[in-house]
Formats: sequence, structure tokens, C-alpha cells
Amino acid sequence: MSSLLEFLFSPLRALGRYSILMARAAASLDEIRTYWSNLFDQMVRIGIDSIPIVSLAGAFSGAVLTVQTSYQLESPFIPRSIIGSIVVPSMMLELSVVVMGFILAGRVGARIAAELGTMRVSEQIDALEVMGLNSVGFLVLPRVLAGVLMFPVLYVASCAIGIGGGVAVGHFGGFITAGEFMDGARQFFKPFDPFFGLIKAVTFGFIVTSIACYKGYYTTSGAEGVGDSTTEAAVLSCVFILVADLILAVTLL
Amino acid sequence: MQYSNELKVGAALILSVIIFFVGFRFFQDLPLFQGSYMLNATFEEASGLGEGNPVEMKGVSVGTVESVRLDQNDQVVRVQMRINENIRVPEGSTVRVTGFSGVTGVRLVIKPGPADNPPVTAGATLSPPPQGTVLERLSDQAPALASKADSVLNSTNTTMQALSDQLSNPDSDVRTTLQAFRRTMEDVESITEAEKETIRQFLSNLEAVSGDLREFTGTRGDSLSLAVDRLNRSLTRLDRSLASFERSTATLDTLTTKLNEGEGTMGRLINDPSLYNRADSVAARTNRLLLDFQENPSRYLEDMTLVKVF
Repeated sequence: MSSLLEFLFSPLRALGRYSILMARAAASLDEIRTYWSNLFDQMVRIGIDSIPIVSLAGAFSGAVLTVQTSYQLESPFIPRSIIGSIVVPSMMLELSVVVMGFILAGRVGARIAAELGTMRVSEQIDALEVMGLNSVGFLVLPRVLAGVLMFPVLYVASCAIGIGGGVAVGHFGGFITAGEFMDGARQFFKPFDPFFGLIKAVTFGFIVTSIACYKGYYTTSGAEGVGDSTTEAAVLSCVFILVADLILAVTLL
Repeated sequence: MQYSNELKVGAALILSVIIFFVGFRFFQDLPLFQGSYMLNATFEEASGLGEGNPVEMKGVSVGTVESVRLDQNDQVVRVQMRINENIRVPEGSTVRVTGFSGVTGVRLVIKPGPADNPPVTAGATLSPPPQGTVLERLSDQAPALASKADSVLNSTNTTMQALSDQLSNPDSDVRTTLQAFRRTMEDVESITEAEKETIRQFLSNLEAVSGDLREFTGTRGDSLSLAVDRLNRSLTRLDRSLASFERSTATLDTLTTKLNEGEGTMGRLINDPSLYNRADSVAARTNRLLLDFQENPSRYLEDMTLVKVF
């Protein structure tokens, strides 16, 4: 019975610990100046270093979407410019940001969880606390903040390169000229679309980094625990990205 | 060269902001480094118009739709559009929503007013083109209609003036024609006067004839009706006979055709000479046989036994 209750309460307990950790991180915001260099270091490692992989994913997403849309819309009654009208909003609203979120859940989330998990099991976090440093302010806050700040930058890169990849493949692959593509994109462009993408990017940035920090910060059981934390961080980030994606789409669109 | 983290992050942020801004303006179909101004419009029906749809003037894209809002107080749709700075929209311009959302996309189309008019100021409201009731259209067309009516009246006036001139001129064709007509009428009148007695007699005779005819039809009505009935029956019979005759003629015609074409026995008899030739040959042979019989009866009677008892 008690084990059943334990099983039922464990998600609530996890949510509570996660919320407290984030509250402590938010409370440490006034200390961020102390860890300024740490923040920039994380911004580079989470943001700048991820630009190549995110751009690559974006470019291929846009290219594939263009080719598949042109394949699906092969009808004399549908103008070819519609391909642009479908690819660009799809990239802005969904594809670039979600693909980016998944990739970064693996790249950034796993790295953060492994890093913090190793520090936890090797008692470095305890040592920081003993030295009087705010470990949450020093370790968690810069990472979460870096994720929230840099994911939009990565979204812009992914989106721009994805649309560029779509135009390039459409044009040079003979599916649609660049002019037609852009005409279609402009035809149905809604100014809210890129802002919605930015909102998603910020949300996903927070989800990936905060879940990874939570999993890493509360790692137990040595090296095996670090492995578990890393896996759980990546998997949970992906799951919550999907959940948040749906909630945002339902509430904001 | 080693770049600091701050520099890298700052450059990435600035670059992404620039890309975002440029891309946004690009997809909004607005010039990148050019200003714009807002115009408003009010519609009864938005027809699927949405933010970001293009605004066109004479088929050229001149801006985008900024916002589409339903005003529930007045039950109208209020549209805000962003127009490129270098585009001047003359006063008196109208704006309407066109296009199908599924295929070509919905768009706003500005129909510019007279080019001489001063341009509208930023924030001005353009009205949709006149539409709706006949009276509204009529009131919009009133100045044009008035000018047309004026020109028609002027033409009528000129025509009437010309007619008046023609009539007042003693040598005009119209006057001569009218005089000739009057003379003709006078002649007719004098003739009628002169032959009045003759006409009266003719009319009385005509009256007498018609009276006799009426009397005849009255008194001999039954006989006449009987005669007509009989005539009718006779005609019906004649009609039947004619129909029968027609059928007979048709049959005869068919028969003749068959005879001519050599169909049937008679046809062959008529058209095939071989029967005649054979008959002729038979007659000649018979003739020869009879001659031979006469000349040499013994040849034939030799084997004949007139009476054979045993």
C-alpha cells in the first residue's frame, strides 16, 4: 500500500522539488552579476556551439518539407506558390523550433544533466555549498538563463537557414522558383507567426535546461545515477517539449 | 585570435535580431529600410482577410494588412493597413477585399481616386467602393446622370429650334409637303362631294344585297344545312375514294416498277427474251414436224396401230 502511494506521489514529489529548485534559481537572480562570466560561458556552450547542428537540422527540414509539399500539391488547379505558403509558416510555427528543441534536448540537456550529475556524485556541489557559494545560483541559474536567452537566437538561425534551404532545394531542384516561393510566403504571411516561434523557443529553452538541471542536480547512485539522469533529462525534455508545443498552439493560435 | 564569450554572445544576439527584423519586413512585403504609414478601412464583411495579407494598388503590392478587428458596437470590420512610405494614395480612393482564401489568397485592393487629388494623410480611413441599393448607386451616379440629361435636353432644344425654323420658313420642304398634303385632302373632299349620289346608291344597293342574302339564309336555312351536310358526306366519301385510289396507284406503281425491273414472273416474261426465243424455236420445230408429217405420214403411222385387239 505504502509503495503504491509512493508510486502515485512520486510525480507530485518530483514536481515539488523541481518547482522549489526553480524558485531558488529565480531567487538567485540578484546574484547573477556574481556569476556573470559563468552565464556567458553557458550561453556560448548552449547557444553558439549549437548553431552548426541546429542550422544543419533546419536546412534539411526546410529542404525536405519543400520537396514533399511540392510532391503532395502536384495539381494543375493549385498554384505552385502555395508551396511557399505552406513551407514558410510551417517552418516558423513548428518544424524548425520543434526539431531544434529535440536536438538540443539531446545535445544541451544531456550535457547539463551529466555535468551536474557528475558534480553531485563527486560531491563538488556539496563542496561549493561548504565554501558558502549558492550552488543553485552558480550552476542552475546561468544554464537556465542561457537556455532561455539563446534558444530564440538558435530559432532565428534554424528558421532562416531552413527557409533558405527550402528555397534553394525548390529552386535548384526545379520544383518551384525562388520568386514563386517568396510570393507564396508573402501571400499568407501572418506577422504573429515568427513571434509565436520565438515564444516557443523561449519555452523550450526553459524546459530543456531546467529539466536537465533538475535531473542533474538531484542525481544519486554514482555513475549509474549519472547515466540515468542524462537519459531521463533528454527523454523528459522531449516529452515536455511536445506537451508544451500543444498547449502553446491551443492557447495562443 | 581568441574572441571572448561576451563578444560571441553579443554578436550572435545582434545578428539574430537583424535577421529577424529583415526577415519580418521581407515577408511582410515591406521595403527593408523604408518607412511606412498606416491607413484604415471599414468593411461590412472581411471575407477571410487576415493580418499580413497584401495590399495592392493597380496590381502592385504597396503594403500589408496590419490588423483586422471586428467592432461589435457598430458591427463592422475595422482594418488597419501599412502602406509603403513612397506610395501616395490620392483622396477619393476606395478599397475593397478580393480573392479566394484557398487559391490566390485574400488581398486588399486600393482603387486610386483622381490623380490630381492630394494624397491622404497617415491614419486616414478609406471607404469601400459604392455598392448596395439602387438608390445609393443612383445617388453616386447623380452628377453624371445630370450632365447626360442636360446634354439630351440641349439636343432636344436644338432639334425643336430647327423644326420651328423649318415651319416658319415659307419655302421649306416641310411646309411645302404640308401644303401638298392639304391640297390632296381638298381634292379628295371635292371628289367625295361630287360623287355623293353615286356613293349613296352603291351603298343602298350593297345594303339590299346583304338583306336578300340574310333573308335567303333565314328562309332556306334547313335546306341549305341539309345540302351542306350532303356535300360534306360526299366530300368525305370522295376523300376516302381518293385515298383508296392513291393506294391503288401506289400498288400499281410498285407493280410497274417490278415489271420494269424484271422481278417476278411477269417481269421476267416481259424482260427476258429467252422464253420468246424458245417458244419461237418450238413453233419452228413444230412447223417442221407437221410439214414432215404431211409429207411422210408413213414414217409416223408405221408404228401406229389404230386398233389392236390382241
